[in-house]
Amino acid sequence: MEEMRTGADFVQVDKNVDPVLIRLQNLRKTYGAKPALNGLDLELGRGKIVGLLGPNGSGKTTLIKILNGLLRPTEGIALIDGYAPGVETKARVSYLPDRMYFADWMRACDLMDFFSDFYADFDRQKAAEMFSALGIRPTERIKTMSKGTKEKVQLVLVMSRKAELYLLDEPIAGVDPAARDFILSTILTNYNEDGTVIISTHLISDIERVLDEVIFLQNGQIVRHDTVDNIRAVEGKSVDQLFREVFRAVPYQGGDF
Amino acid sequence: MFGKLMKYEMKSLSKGLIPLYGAILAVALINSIMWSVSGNGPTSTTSTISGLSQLTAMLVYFGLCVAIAVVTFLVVIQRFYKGLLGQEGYLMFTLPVPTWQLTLSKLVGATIMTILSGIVGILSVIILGSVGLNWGAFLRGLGQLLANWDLDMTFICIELFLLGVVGTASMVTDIYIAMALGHLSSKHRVAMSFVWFIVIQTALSFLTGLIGIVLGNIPAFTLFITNFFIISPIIGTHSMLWFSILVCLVETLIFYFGTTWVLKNKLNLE
Repeated sequence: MEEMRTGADFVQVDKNVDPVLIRLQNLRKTYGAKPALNGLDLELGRGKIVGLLGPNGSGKTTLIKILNGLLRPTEGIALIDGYAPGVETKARVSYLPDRMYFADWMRACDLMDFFSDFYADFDRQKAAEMFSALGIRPTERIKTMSKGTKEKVQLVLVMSRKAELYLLDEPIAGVDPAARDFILSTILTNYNEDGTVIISTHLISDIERVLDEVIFLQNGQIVRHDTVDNIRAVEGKSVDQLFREVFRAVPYQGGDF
Repeated sequence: MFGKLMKYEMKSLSKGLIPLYGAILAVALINSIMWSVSGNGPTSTTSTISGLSQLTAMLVYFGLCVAIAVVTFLVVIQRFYKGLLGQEGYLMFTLPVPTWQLTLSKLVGATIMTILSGIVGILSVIILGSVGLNWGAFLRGLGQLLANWDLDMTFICIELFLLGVVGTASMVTDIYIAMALGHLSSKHRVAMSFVWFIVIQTALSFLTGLIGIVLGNIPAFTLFITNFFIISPIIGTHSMLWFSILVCLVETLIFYFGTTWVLKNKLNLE
């Protein structure tokens, strides 16, 4: 199959593809009376690395959960490749949650079986190579691994898919700088270049260099969506500096809602 | 995709239960060998020592049955709660499979394992009971039973088996719907699952009682049922079994679709 797809085919296919991968219209999510997302409108293209930035509680995880179908929006529309989150989108979205999601009994090879069984875009060989580079034996049980190793296993599996959208929720929170470098380089060297990567974090300085675009989320609203180049050119400052300025006032607005 | 889900569900369930089955059958076998060697079967009552061994046998029976029932119950709950509503939910609900397949794989897996547990329980009791058994009488009785075997008995066996399956499934879905509703609470989700379970069970017994009273007060209905049994006890038994199967099936379907609806539309993982 792969050999038959020439470069010319790709160009032709690309022309027919909607350049917009993610489309949000007035997206709202409330938990009880508490709003988590407050009317988001957004269009996001393909082949980009996007930072979803905001302080804790700004709605980053809620947005990611809606995009991968773990939550239903209260109101509004979220589309990925023209589909509402569901079976079609889940086959195209590779999701790294901010926690461990394995069954205890599984070994590294069971996980590779699992991903091969359910995801057509999973590259088993790639995953096996990355595991062996990390010194993880296929028969090693997940239960006996250290927390850091478990996180790496999860990242390897998620990045071994040739997905159209990677949703990475806080991949670098709570890890040491060496692990941070490993995680970022794993993401950069393995993601599908036609696909888009969304990385949610509040640690901007570490990932600023890899980002094409940033989305600033505050109190469930998008306060800024721009390219990193644009921010540097227009504002004359780094994304990290801008982030600190935008969110500096947050503690004083606590009484607003 | 459903086949793959079933594969992992059965793997996951077996990890917890198959070793237990092995242990229980081994305990039963060891006990029965020890009794037959010492000559004190659980059914002999000639001396104090054999009386003591009878007591021990009873305790072992009881212990085995309780162990199997409790562990099966816990594994069924845990596979659903941890596997869908806990952290594993982040993996399962982002797979490209529809929610009804996720819940159905849990239901089918839990029903199969519960029935297997029942079979292992019965087997262990048979192994223990076989020590003091009068094999001659047992085989004679079995021969008589088979000699009088007819089509009705075959059907009753099939009906009892079906009742066993849907009865088990209805108990499993009772637990699932309680957990699905409990997970909607923002706090104390496990406690709320218990509360929901009690509420649903109370409502069910109230409903059953109410229907019983209403139907019991319709003379034509009671007359109809009584005549049914007078005219043909066999037909009466068949219809009672089919009626029970139908009730369990309806309960299973309502709670299964209810659980799936909640998890599809109201999912809120911790």
